[in-house]
Amino acid sequence: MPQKDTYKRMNAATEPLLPDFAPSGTPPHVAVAPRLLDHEHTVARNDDDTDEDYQARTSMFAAVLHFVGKG
Amino acid sequence: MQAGDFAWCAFPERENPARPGPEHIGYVLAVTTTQPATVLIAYTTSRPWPYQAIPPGIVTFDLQAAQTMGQTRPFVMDLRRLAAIPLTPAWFPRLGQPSGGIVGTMPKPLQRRYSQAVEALFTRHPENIERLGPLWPPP
Repeated sequence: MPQKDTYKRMNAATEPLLPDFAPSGTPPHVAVAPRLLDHEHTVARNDDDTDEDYQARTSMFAAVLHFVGKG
Repeated sequence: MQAGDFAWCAFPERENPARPGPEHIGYVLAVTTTQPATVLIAYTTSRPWPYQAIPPGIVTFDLQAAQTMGQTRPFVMDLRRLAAIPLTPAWFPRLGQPSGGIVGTMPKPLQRRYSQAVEALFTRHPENIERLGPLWPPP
């Protein structure tokens, strides 16, 4: 698959941030961040977040990661 | 860009979920600290919800509420239709503009409410969630 080979070559220069995660045919420039679960993700805290705000967001994100981790 | 913002993005379409779609306003649920960041963003549309019943995850905003969040029309937010996309110009074409493509921000109490709603969806009704964008693991 020429497209996938091209993608792998482009990824090779930037490992380990860019594992071979993109679906076949995905142009490299549209998938340049680590896929969920391929990297340790932490939710950014807004400057004006209270602890309650941030807790709600991190709890939500943990539920997302928990779910996709099951897949 | 940060969680709570409404931002222009190339929200992916179902037919081509790993590629940028037409420009659309999305609601930013979370931004990660990775470089580049991954943005978890929910779909919004100004098309009215066509059914009488409103299922969990669908939120409708009237004009008055919409205006407080920088929008000019009533809109519907679909927390079941979520994209995980990189914070890059390919996915956020207006990043380079002074506004960064951000049209408004949701009030904090509502941010908390909808974070909890998404958590409940993933916990209780994950089969109803549509995952779009290139950054979800394969199903």
